[in-house]
Amino acid sequence: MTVQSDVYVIILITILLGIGIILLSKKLKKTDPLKKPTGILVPVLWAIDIVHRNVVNNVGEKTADILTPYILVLWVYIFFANTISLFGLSSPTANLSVTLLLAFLTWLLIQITELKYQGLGGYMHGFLEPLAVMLPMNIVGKFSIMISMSVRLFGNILCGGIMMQLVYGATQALSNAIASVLGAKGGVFNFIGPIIAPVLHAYFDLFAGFIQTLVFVTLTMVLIGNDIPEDVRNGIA
Amino acid sequence: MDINKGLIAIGAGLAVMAGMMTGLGEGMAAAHACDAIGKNPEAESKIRSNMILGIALSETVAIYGLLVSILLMFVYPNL
Repeated sequence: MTVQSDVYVIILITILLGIGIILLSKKLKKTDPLKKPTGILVPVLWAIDIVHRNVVNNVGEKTADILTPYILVLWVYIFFANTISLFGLSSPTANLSVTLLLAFLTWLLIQITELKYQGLGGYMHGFLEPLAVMLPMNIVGKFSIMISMSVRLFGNILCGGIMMQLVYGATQALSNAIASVLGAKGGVFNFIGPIIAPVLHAYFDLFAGFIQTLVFVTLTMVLIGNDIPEDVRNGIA
Repeated sequence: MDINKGLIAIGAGLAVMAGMMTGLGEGMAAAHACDAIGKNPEAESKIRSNMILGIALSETVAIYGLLVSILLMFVYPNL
């Protein structure tokens, strides 16, 4: 049995994030809630507040208390996994198993919300809307959310990795050609790569990683919020 | 064998052309969202989440094209 090299990166990320979160929560428990936060807690509390307000805007006050921890986990995990390729490791999100699991969790939450607010009868009747003939379409449509969300994240991150490999290959070939013109024998150090690669790394790893995290999280919130009735979202009912 | 590889490469290139019109459509969606934010800036967060939803749904087509081309390049030759 062979183990994919991504598995080690996934375990490493889980351990790092676990240690970080345990340390943060210990620090948070020690602090006095009535005093001003200091040090590392300032940006953490600021980020949590922004995410919580964003969740409240989309799903309403009542559901937000349950949903905010999940959204925070998605933010931290996906963004960290997307940008770990800056350190020369392969991103776990370039592996379909990881993104499929994340999309499956979101899909499960959507189904639970639908069942909660429409009831079993309403949920089953949703398959026959607007006509009974649409049954196969509706069944495919239910599962297409999972597939499209997982493949979107996977495809974007994987293609970023492939692009960077192509760039490094091209710059290696170019520096070999320049060196052979100057009279060097055999392969040389890829001296053009470090000049143009940082800009592309900033785009493909940082920017695309951030945008894809934002899209995944926003889609999760919007799709769950769509299934909650307007009255519950506005806190009337 | 070599001509087969070339044909697979052409097929993968054609499959990824699904992203051509998707790019146009997403650009139009973003442009209209900017117009809407210009008209009423206070609705920015609602417009943003709706725009991301619409863009993501239309991006699905491009993603499927990408998936087909990845399958053609990495899975199909090894069958």
